[in-house]
Amino acid sequence: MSKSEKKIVLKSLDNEAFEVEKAVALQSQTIWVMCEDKCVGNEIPLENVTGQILAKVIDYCKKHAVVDGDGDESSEELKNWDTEFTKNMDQSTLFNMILAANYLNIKSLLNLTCQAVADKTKTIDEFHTFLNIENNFTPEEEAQICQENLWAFDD
Amino acid sequence: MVASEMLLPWDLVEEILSWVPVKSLIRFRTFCKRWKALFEEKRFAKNQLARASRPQFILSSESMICSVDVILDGCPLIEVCKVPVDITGYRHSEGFSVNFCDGLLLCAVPSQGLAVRNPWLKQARWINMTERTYFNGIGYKIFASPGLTGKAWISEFGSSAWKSHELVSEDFMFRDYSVSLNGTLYWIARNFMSREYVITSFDFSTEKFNEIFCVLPDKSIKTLDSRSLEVFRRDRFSYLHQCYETKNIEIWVTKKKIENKDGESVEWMMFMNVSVPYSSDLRCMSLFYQRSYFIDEKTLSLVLCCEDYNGNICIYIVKGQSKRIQIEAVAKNHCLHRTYFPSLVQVPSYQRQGEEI
Repeated sequence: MSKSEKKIVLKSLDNEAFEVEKAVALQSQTIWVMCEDKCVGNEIPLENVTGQILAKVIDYCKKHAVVDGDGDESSEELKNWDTEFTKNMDQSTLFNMILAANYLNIKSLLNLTCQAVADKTKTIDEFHTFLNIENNFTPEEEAQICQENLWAFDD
Repeated sequence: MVASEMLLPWDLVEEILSWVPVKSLIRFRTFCKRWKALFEEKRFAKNQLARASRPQFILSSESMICSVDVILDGCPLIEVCKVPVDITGYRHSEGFSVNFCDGLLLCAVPSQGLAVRNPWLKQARWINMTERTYFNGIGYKIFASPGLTGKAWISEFGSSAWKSHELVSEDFMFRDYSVSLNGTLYWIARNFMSREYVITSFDFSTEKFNEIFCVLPDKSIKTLDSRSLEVFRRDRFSYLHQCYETKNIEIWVTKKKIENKDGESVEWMMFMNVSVPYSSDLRCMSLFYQRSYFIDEKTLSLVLCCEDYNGNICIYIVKGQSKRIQIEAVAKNHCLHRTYFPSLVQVPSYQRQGEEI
């Protein structure tokens, strides 16, 4: 394989181009399929991901491309790296990461980011604000369910 | 962008919710009808169970059940949640063994039989058992055995008939705990003739016993030592051995994940060696004291639940310096405990309130 074939260019929604090793990019099942189909050249347009988010996704893939397949010790290190990776992301970045991981079909990144949101969100109200879902129980129904599960509400 | 302006597709909301702990999900049932319906789905309950970050301890006495979550980030602390026992048609009473299998608790209660329970959903179902059983498990069937003899019974859910099985040879003695992994039960058994301890298995799909699934890592044959088998990292074994004389504890784990068919390739490695000082209450642990434990994957600590000298239930956390936390909520009396994962798994053929139980 020549040098140029080993590299691949990912282009974000806002036209930012990232040159990465093919092995790094192929962790995305979506990119894998695109390459298999040979429907794209060396440059892959990713219409749903901004450059800012794509840069983070690439960081993640780079880290995981190097360490995956090694022994147990490095998997410990990888776990710590993952924790640090999502630790300081705000809610909206995490949401965009979830959407990107879903679109690019990178299962481990999707798990990591979903878990991070679940960990950071503790109350119903927090979920309420960011998931934009309306409560469609009648007040009577809600009161009844609350009553049945009262024990779960005290700390 | 403000987060609230963004709407995630439903399947991604579902993904996020499957990482949320059961206690929060119980609260979230009031959130909307769609969420409540989701939490009752088998597939969701299965995902949620598979993703729980760490096990908890379930403590059960005559008067109460509580779940103890040990939080190990930073300075270790415990969170005790009292779980209701007021289930219609179910009289809670003290059992003599409790096992955990695929999201459900299985409790053996004297003269009443086996209770399959999910305390978090307030669901319970009785299964009549004429003989006293010590260890039991659930696959899609129920398995029960009195432990000291070579007998065992198997029953299907929804059926009151028990099929009798002769458990291997009479030379074997079984312990009161089983662990469940991929539809197979495993437990520590002892061969009276060779005096050796081994891991025995029962495969639910084929209904076959495997007298010696694999050997234990240590060659100690001392009867008074205590031994417990647990699941490590969801797919491996961990094994706790406490020497009766020195009180020191050894923890072993298997190198690779356990395959039902292949016990011969099981390789053990020493994981932790805990020397127990003379001043520690852990010295009182003996064959007769029940103990539950798990290895926390994140911090690689040993978390142990057992009764101390005064009958108080205590949690010991061992990593570097060991720490002991006493659980205040439990009265000073005999109490059963077990490592388990809280879940939303429904009790099979569970009959709702008002129906005949």
